Amino acid sequence: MKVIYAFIRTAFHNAFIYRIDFWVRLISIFIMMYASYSLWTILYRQVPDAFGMDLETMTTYGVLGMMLVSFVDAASDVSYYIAEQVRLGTLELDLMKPLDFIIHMFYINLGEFVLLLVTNGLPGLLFAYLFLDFNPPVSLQAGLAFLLSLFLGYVVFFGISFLMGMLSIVTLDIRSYSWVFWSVVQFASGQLVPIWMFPPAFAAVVLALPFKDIYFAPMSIYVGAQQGSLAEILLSQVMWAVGLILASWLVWQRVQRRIQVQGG
Amino acid sequence: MKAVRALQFRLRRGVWYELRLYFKFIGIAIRSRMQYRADFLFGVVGVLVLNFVNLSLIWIMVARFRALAGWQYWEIVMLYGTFLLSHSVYAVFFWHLSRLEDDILHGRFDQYLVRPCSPLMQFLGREVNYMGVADVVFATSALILAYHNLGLDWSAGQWAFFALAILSGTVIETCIVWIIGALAFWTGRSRAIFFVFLRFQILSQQYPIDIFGMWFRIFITGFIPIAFMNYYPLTILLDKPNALGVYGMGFLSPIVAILLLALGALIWRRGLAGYTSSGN
Repeated sequence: MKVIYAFIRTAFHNAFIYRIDFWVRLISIFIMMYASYSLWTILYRQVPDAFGMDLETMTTYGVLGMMLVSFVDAASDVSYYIAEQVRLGTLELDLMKPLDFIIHMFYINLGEFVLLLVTNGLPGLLFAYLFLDFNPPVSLQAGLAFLLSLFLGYVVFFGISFLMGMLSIVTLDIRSYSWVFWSVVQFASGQLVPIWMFPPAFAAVVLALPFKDIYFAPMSIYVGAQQGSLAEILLSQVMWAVGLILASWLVWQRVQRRIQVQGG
Repeated sequence: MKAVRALQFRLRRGVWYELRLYFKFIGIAIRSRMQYRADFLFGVVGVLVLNFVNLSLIWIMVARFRALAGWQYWEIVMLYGTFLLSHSVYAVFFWHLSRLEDDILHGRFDQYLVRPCSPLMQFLGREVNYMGVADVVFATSALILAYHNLGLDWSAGQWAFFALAILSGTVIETCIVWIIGALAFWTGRSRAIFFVFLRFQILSQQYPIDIFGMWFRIFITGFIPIAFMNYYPLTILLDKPNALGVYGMGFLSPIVAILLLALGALIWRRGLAGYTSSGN
């Protein structure tokens, strides 16, 4: 716990150096939340109660997506961090630290996640409540399940991102294509458009992938529109989270051997 | 510095000389870019995938709700394609204006001042960005598809207006980025403002601005006039009412472009005149 606290403190310290960036991020988040709110309002004015859902539920979903992306997206930074260390040839400095590499990466990233949750997520929440007709979770149970699901989604995202980072050790540079991958992930995670609106065949494909567990799972629980029972969704998230972390660990074991050979 | 600038002034040889140099620089930039073929391929595929994903998302929404604020799906594709075509020219030749801050902040801008040719030409000629090529391909295909699906039949005059709108769009986007970049002459940093601008850019590329509230529409019409790139010209070409309810806004696009160009030149000159290097 002490270690986690130290990483969180460092993340906050770094953030206060770039104060303009903080305001810019916040303004960008507000703009995107407002845009999503306007978009769904207009669409629902044309077809009221589409998909058996009222307007406020839908705008809550849309606004929530924009709010969550402002801090859950911190998970994608792992891949950039590893890629940068590979590029600069300083990855061995991370290996010398007295902490397992994956756990170390997770702590650094968790620090950033908490930082963004506080500096972006909370102001976003306030903005949404004040100006965008934002609903609370449908029930207390849904609220608690949402928090758990949110964290699991973040772990799933972290696993995907870590594997992406490992790819940079093999291909040396992921920057030229990683941004495309993230936009596809965003699309398939239901963060912008809920998966229940996808054409059925397409939704079936998307639901078989792990990306839905990043955003769609917590968001659909929050608005009470989850596809299946709470237990089923949380179980799916746990399984993907464990599977991806395990895969990360296995890949890391192999990669580590490669690095040792090169080190000499 | 004063002596250097005086010398530089004497060596200046007029617009044609500058333009010839510019194309020479661009030729060099293209050759150096071609050294990285794999990068080029990834970049092109990436841009195509990204745009395809964007349009698919819009399709899902619009197909399920039939239209968006009176705009059919193919009309929105047209909106998107028009923006992207304007944007592609900017992306190929002027994209690095968004990174003007880096040069000013790190004192690299000095090197442009000591050579006998306009600093702007040198800066612009330094880079070309191949990703924009993929934008051209995607935008053209999207526009052709939309044109056929909407059953349009434009006259020569309408086509000419469309071409003028594309050109104006390029100038508008380039100038906005140029002005934001030039602010760094005073503030040292301006990339933060650029990122906010990017949000407005993405939104007005993808959605008809009718979906936003009035203050938002006025903002992207009057303050950051990005709606003149695609939205207003298309309301005329597709014969639609526009979000401000003022007839003929689209005809103003070229005028907005010229005004921005003048404003950009003014700010650039002021900034350059007052420039003090961050180095020593």
